[in-house]
Amino acid sequence: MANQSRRPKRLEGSVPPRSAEFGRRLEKQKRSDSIWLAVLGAAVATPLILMAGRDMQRNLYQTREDCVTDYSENECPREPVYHYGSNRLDDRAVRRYHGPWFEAGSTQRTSTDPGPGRLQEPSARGSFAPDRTSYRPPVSREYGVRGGFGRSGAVRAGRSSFGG
Amino acid sequence: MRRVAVPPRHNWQARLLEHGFDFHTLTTDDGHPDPYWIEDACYEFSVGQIDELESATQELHDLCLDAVGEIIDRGDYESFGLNQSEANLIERSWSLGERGLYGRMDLSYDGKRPPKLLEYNADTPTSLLESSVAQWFWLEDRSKEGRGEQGFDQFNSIHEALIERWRTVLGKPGGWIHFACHQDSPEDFGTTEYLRDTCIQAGWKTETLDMSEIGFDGTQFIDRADRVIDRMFKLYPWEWLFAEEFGAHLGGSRTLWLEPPWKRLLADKAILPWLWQRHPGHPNLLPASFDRSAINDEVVFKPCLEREGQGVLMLPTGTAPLDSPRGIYQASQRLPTFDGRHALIGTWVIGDVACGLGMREDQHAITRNTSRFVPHRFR
Repeated sequence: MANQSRRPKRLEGSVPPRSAEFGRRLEKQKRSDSIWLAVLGAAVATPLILMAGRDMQRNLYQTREDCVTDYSENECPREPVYHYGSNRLDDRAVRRYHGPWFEAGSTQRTSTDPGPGRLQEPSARGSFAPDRTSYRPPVSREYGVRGGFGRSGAVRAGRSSFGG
Repeated sequence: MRRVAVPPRHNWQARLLEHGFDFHTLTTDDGHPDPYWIEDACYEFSVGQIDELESATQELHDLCLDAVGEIIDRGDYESFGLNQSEANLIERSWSLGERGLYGRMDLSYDGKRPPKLLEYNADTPTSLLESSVAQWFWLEDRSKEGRGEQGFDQFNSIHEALIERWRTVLGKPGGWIHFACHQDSPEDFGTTEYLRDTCIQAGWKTETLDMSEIGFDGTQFIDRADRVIDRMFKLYPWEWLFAEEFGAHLGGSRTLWLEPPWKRLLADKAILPWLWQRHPGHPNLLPASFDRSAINDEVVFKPCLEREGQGVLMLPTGTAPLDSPRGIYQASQRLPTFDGRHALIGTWVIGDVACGLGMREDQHAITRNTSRFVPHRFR
């Protein structure tokens, strides 16, 4: 046992220990369709603990154009969602286009919260005329929560590792 | 077993970076570079010593698996501080046969007496990349440079074992698995990225995210793109997952977690008194108890769920018990010193097989997250 190499011979020195993706830095893609990372960005001055588990919601539209009318090109993903947020296609799936997550209960568009949509904000009604006459309001809303994990890690962020 | 002074490779920093080991030098609180990896020395073992470490690790792991089964059979969760819903999740993961990926045992060993288990980091072990990749290429480089390394080997098949283990745990390749950790920690992120890499090499598609980016859609956990998370490797302790807000959703979600929830039992120091009670006098175990008076000599107090030496205290003979939250007392087995450094052995278990070793050393008797990693070899 011990007089044999601890590495299988077939792999010794011949296989790179990493794939092309190894060490890829975190691509914190700023999701244009979500406020979440924007909220994270604001966390520099805001302890994560205060943001843990925020109730979020987002509008579901029949078409992407409807979403863009309420928000913007960047805030409305081109890919639809199926069956309540899962990408699993099946015969029963209903295709919907979702807007960005916004904080439940908010009625105003802020720098960190896209709000419920231009035509859904009471203050905007009557003062904003969509270019499209075929605009249809959201057919439903999805509810979710983000930030419900990670609090302990953030609190102990001064330590170099949480592993053992 | 000895500590041998050796000249470092002339380009060692560059070589480490080539292998993704970018946290080889950390920074002190006052901003000074603080080497974590050093290679102006190495630890050298005999074949027989490596065999002894390998067989002890294997046997201890087997004992640990037996212990998990018995604890679950008895429902003996009180000493582990678990509530019913946590226990339910642990029981379910065990009964479903969910498999573990990896773990690291910390052993006290001087090359003469049998190795003794100090603790089993079975849930969130780090120092993996340096054990698996960095020290292996150190040995290879030195051999190629003709620095007298010919004939040396290393107890290290961690990398190949990990790739194989992914195939065993996840089955037929081709699906997605997410990897999450607290990404602000360079060591945690580096460890998670390395594991992700081995998973990619096993044929899986992967996505990475910070723990705080995990979402919940009312039924399932979702990623940044709102995809349902079917499989999740997390470098994040189970006790934190249980305690945090989303912990309430763990039981109802379909996510397969790695490490599986039953690893929570092994990561708890309460397993040490449990093992000692079950196998008193075992040559690879130290006396351990929840009761200070059960061990007369010098003991080490260990909080049940702390890591990296946090809260660990040495208590001289006759010291009264601590008025402290959940913790255990373990008979003191001081780490052997080589050139004034306290040497700690970490043996790796991938899946259920002992297959590697990493050495850390410290000026202090208690190994902490500022200890230094030193490569090893044997012949």
